[in-house]
Amino acid sequence: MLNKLALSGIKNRLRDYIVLFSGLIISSAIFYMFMALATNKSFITNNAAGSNAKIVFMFGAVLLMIITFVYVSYANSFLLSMRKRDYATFMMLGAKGSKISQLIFIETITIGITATAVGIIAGVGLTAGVGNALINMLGVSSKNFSAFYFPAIVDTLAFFMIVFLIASLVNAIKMSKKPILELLHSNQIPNRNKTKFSIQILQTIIGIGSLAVGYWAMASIKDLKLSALPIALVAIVIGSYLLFNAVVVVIINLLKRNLNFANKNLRNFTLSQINFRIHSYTMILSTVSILFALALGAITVGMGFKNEIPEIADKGVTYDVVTHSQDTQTKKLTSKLTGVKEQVTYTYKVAGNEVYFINTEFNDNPILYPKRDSRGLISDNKYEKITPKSMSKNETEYSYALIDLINGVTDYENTKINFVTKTSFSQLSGKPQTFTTFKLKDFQTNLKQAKQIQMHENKLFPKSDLYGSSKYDMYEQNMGLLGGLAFMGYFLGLAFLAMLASTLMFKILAGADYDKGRYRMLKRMGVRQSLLKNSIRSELAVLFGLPAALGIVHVLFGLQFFKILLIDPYAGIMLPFIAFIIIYLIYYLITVWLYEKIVMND
Amino acid sequence: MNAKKVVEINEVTKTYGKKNQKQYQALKGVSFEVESGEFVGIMGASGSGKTTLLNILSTLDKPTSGSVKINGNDVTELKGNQLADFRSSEIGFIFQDFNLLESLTARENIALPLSLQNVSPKEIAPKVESIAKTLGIESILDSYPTEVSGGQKQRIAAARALVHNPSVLFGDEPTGALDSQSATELLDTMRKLNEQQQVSILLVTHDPYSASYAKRILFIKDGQIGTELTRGDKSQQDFYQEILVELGTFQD
Repeated sequence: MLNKLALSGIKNRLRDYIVLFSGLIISSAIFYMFMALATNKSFITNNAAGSNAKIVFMFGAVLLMIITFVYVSYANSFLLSMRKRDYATFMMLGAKGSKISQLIFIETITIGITATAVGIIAGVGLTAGVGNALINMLGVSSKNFSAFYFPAIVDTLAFFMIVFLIASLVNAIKMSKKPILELLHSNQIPNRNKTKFSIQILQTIIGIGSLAVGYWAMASIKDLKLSALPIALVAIVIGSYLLFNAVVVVIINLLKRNLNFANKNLRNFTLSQINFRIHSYTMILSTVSILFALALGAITVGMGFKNEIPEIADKGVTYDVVTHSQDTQTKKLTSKLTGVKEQVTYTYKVAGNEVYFINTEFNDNPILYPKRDSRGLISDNKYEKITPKSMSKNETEYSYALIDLINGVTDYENTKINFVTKTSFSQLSGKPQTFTTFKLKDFQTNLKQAKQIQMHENKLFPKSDLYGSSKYDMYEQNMGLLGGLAFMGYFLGLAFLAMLASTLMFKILAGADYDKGRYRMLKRMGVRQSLLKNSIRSELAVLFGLPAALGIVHVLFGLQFFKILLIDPYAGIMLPFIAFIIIYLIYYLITVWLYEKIVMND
Repeated sequence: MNAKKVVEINEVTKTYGKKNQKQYQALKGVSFEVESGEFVGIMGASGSGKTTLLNILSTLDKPTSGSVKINGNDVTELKGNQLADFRSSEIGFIFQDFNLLESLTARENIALPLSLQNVSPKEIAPKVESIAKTLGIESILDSYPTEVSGGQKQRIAAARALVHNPSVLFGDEPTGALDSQSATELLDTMRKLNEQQQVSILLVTHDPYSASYAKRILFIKDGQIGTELTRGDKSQQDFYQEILVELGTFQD
């Protein structure tokens, strides 16, 4: 009988349950997707900087667990808000508290298990799709990556079971402790904000102050070292909380006092709705703003890493392509290079520890020696020219640079570079060899050709000392390292975004049931449908917009943090921001749609 | 006295249920008129069709056939925004459960109908003050609905219903959730509004005491108007007795 009651409860409100259900499915699918990567040690170590990656993934997993937990508890309160009246009716009919608790328990667990199971199946599909798309996009090695990963399934199931167990216990206790009448009317009573204005102002000042401290800590990572992270985290959490608790309320009250603004259409009602909500929303809004920042930050940094792969390669090596003693195949391959700015061939002979170059070749086209900054990157195309005359200026470094370019010399220290005239060069014993340098307009577009040339060079000189010094090699190494980081950034970012937006969505939808009466009342009073919709849209826009705006500010300051890792963390910032806002907007629109369906439907 | 008609309803029927399903006729041809400045009560037991009638009068529901004119406008022909605008300008409501917006203060609740018509804030303030004075709620204007008593809530609701000078005030069991003293106070106020400010009132109730405040009472039973009582020069006490007697015979 009890099971039947519980199941019929689900049947009766199928639409609302579909919302709840799809949300839970999404969250468990994302959780699985993340776990499939995070717990797959061979995939991580294969791709990113070993132990560092593990820490990042662990950190990500903990964050994901926290947000999943918050998410499930909101989803649960949504569930409870839907069923409250039914439960109260059962109680009025004489059902015992323990029976009701049992009922809630069965219902919550049933929903939890089903959603998790479906979510894992969806997660396998999602992992295959999204994971592979990201892998292709970033050119990360897909070795060891598999959509179906058994330990991840176990982890996901176990985690969700625990979360749902806790949630259903909390639900059951909540229901059985409260008097029936309170259950029927809870949440309808507004908590009038009785905080004194002066205290609110104080909160505002402290809030903005701690945000400033947090932002400063992130910008001063070089001085503060590792302690910057906890300082920033604590200060920003406190700052966000106080900001929502006080600043928004102060602003709304100021708006309400401006009667010319407030006394138009439903504005006063909309403002009050927001005011009414803000208090119970302070927690979730500050959480969302921080998660928003983390998600957006992860994606921005991920993109930053990806964008800097060619830049780091570009700034690490002077010449885009260098070939040695070209054969017909090399010539064929180099002819395919596009946008060649400069192509110079140098001739040399190696005799023991002596290397000979022709001085006219160097006078005509000096080899460029880059000036490097503290990170070993070439700073702003600043080069010194290596010519027979300038050689004495920095003999050791210059000769190392030249030895890097030629084939067949491994002893850097004892090799001597000589510049001779063309005639004396031809009289020297030994076979003349050549190397050809290419400077290209855009290395990135020539990636395929560069790879082919590199492979051919490796074939021509299998035991050479050239390996690892070309731009292409540099590019490939960075791809493995930074690509892995970028992959993680995207992944974490998307996962957080999906979760946080749906958390907010559920928090709002959970309250929708109580708002029904208000909108019905306004409709009766003769409020136009369009005005009602406007009011709903602006209210939700504020609830969605505020944490997003604060989140964006968090990110803008937070990127300071990555100055130690990235050349310019702010480069190409628009793309992730726009993509992120579009996804977030879609969540907003879905929430508006669902909310309108709930409150306007009668 | 100007005998303008604020409510004219003619042969109104309302049938629930679709054609090929089991149908139920809630109203079976109801006709009556309310003149400007009248205080009319509609009495009937549960299931008599009085709620359906009020819903149709207040344009929340549409009749299956017949016409409903309020202040000369046929409301059955209004749709969407026109209907909403008509409701917000011509009709005032008071419900049993107050229907106040608890996120707004009393003042804001009362001002809402004016804000909806985009009346300037300068004009809103004195209008709210004056109606609040009439209803004796000046002192609680800045309180929230949850902070005042039931009687006060209903006065706030009445102020909200009247602040924009509607053609007619509809009351749906407005005293239903009030204690007897608050109920009497509210009814006295309604009578005062009717007598001194010529507010047209249509009160739907099943409570004979509330109904005895009206000048004319229509009895509705099984979807039809049966008897009609007029108070005339009778004292309220006598009229009350007459209602009780009528109810006694009417129920049979």
